[in-house]
Amino acid sequence: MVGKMKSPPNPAPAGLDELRRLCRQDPAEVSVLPTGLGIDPDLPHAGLLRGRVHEWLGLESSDTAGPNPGRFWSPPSTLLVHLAQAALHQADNAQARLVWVGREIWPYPSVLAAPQGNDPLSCSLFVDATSPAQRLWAVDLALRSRAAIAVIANGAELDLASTRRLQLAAEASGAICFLARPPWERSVLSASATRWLVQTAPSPNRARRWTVSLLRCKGSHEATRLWTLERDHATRSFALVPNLRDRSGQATPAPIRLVG
Amino acid sequence: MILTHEKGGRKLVAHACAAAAHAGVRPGTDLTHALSMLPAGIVPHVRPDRPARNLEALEALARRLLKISPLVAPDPPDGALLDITGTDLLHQSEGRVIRSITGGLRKLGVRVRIGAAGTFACARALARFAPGSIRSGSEREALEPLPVAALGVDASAVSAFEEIGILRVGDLLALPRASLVARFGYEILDRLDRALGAKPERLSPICPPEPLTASLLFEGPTDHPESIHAAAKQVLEELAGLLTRQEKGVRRLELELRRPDAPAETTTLTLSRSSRSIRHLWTLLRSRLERIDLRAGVEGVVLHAARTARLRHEQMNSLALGGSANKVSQAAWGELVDNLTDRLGPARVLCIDAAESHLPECAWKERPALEDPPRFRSAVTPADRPSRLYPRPEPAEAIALTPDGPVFDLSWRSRRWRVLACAGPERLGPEWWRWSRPSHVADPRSQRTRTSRPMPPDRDYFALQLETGLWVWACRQLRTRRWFVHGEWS
Repeated sequence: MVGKMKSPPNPAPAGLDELRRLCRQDPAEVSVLPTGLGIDPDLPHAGLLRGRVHEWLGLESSDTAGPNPGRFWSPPSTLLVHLAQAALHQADNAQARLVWVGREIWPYPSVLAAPQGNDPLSCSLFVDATSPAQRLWAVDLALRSRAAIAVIANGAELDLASTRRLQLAAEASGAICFLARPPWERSVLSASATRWLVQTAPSPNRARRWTVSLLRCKGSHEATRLWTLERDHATRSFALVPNLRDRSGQATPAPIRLVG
Repeated sequence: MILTHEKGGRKLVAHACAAAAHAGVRPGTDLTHALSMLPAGIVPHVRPDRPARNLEALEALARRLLKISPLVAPDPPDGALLDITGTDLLHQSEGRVIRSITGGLRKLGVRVRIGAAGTFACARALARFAPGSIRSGSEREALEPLPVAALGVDASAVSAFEEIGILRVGDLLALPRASLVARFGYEILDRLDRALGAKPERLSPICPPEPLTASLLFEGPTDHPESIHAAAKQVLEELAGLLTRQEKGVRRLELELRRPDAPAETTTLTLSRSSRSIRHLWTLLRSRLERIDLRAGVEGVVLHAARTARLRHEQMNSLALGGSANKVSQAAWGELVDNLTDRLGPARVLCIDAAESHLPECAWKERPALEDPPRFRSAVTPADRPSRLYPRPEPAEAIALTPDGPVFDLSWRSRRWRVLACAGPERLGPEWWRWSRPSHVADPRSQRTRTSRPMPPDRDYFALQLETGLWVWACRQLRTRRWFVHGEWS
């Protein structure tokens, strides 16, 4: 009996199982961050995986003919702040911290300051790293330190090798990493788990709206998905705007009943 | 100033300052009675007496006297004992030693009386009843005219001696020792012997703090980086051992590389929170060592903990067994801040605090993460603010039907944008406390403290939804009627 235990009878299926498990990325084993955006039911793991890099492509606002022309972009700050807050609130550790790397993606502090409770601003560290190499080093250090629950960074000009390094760092500590990237880097290869494109959308009422499209998601073969989100300033929350073309989910109007 | 203690529901004076004592207030007087004794119009500070605090203050005072003599012992309630044997060589004479003690303490506002003698008990008696200095060996003559209380016996014993007509120490010395013991016990004999030097004095002296310095000096200069690194690591381990023994962590660490024929190379490490972790300190120290030019040769490595803070010992337990995850992550956070600051510089690793201003560009100020947070937190305006504020407002042009009416059209970043929705205006004035008032009501005093530049115009802020759905925060300067885009909800 002991002799049998010493040599595994059939190593190949065990390795295959391991490989399958890795490919499947069983959500039971990996911690998931619910986004709170109303899109969780549509996502493969009902949220974003912790210990992964998630890329968020921002909004292009280039100026071609002005006094200082150039290619400008805006990071999706409102969404990133929302996700960072979600990560902070779901942390079981009161000492959970956020790290923001790259001055371009620091949000205006007012949107981080909460009047009461766990204030994301006082839990935040802001790192002014300029060059891509410096940013990469700072994000890597922050991810590996086990002190930060989420690292939000400017991911512009990071190549495949850099994102792979960040992915390994995130896996090592279980922290979640959000990289904000300019929209023209849509075709740049990266090792991130998901890649999102955020654009503003006009709204008939005075609410602020964004369309969020999931360009790529590891472990899912679905085509690009698109959601329209609306933000309520008073409650600081996002709600999904129902897709008007898809009426299947809408309730049928109640029959008219009159009382004379 | 009056310190009080409570006894049987009454407040009694425990200590009174010189002014109160002059008015007749004595320890043990009822507080109400004491207050009535003070001259009219004087309101004294009355505080409860805290003996533990008094003792701490006395110890702190004794600690200061360590620079006069290496052996200092606090002598509660109100004295300190110093062994000044040999210090006259340094100060040229004993008189100078005494003068330097008196002068040093007088600067702190402490009135001193000093007695110097061959025994501590005699010096203590002299200081209280006949300040001055006597020769060693002449204690008996000096003590004889002093009252019995000078020996430090308690008040009941003093009154017992008074009843049988013994008022001076001399009377006591004239009595046979055996009868003294029979009537008053061994204590009085013990005190007499100590005052005369027949028995040694027991002291509990202040221990001078162990200097938190570790060093390693080489036999000759070397420029091998490996040897210097190895030496630095050894010195760091030694220092960490010292810190562990004293239950302390270092906040500022000074590294000194001694050089032959040249001033030493020094570098200072500042940490965000106290630490004695060899791994963390070595990471920081190694990156510093790598930046130092070692070609001139190094003779020795000295590490000095310039600023320390208490850092408790911790149980070695694992997180799985309910260890303190908070403490672990706090330490990890401190190390992260230190590592980032070490490479990028303190001005680029920041925390952000609210500032007292309603202007969007002044409402937040950055603070290096190494510095301690401000004690008071400013209030934060709950108004809807954009998620990004541009570093400088971008000029724009707007078309509106009426001056304060909704904006229809915005020219910005060399493009014309149709405006779908417009909210506002929100008027923000300049910070009135920074600018002088208009000249006709100018206060000459305020002119000096406030800036005399003209006050900038008010701004009207509008939230505009552009045709792409992007909301921007545009503002109009009132006096100049110029438009700017200041931020966006991206």
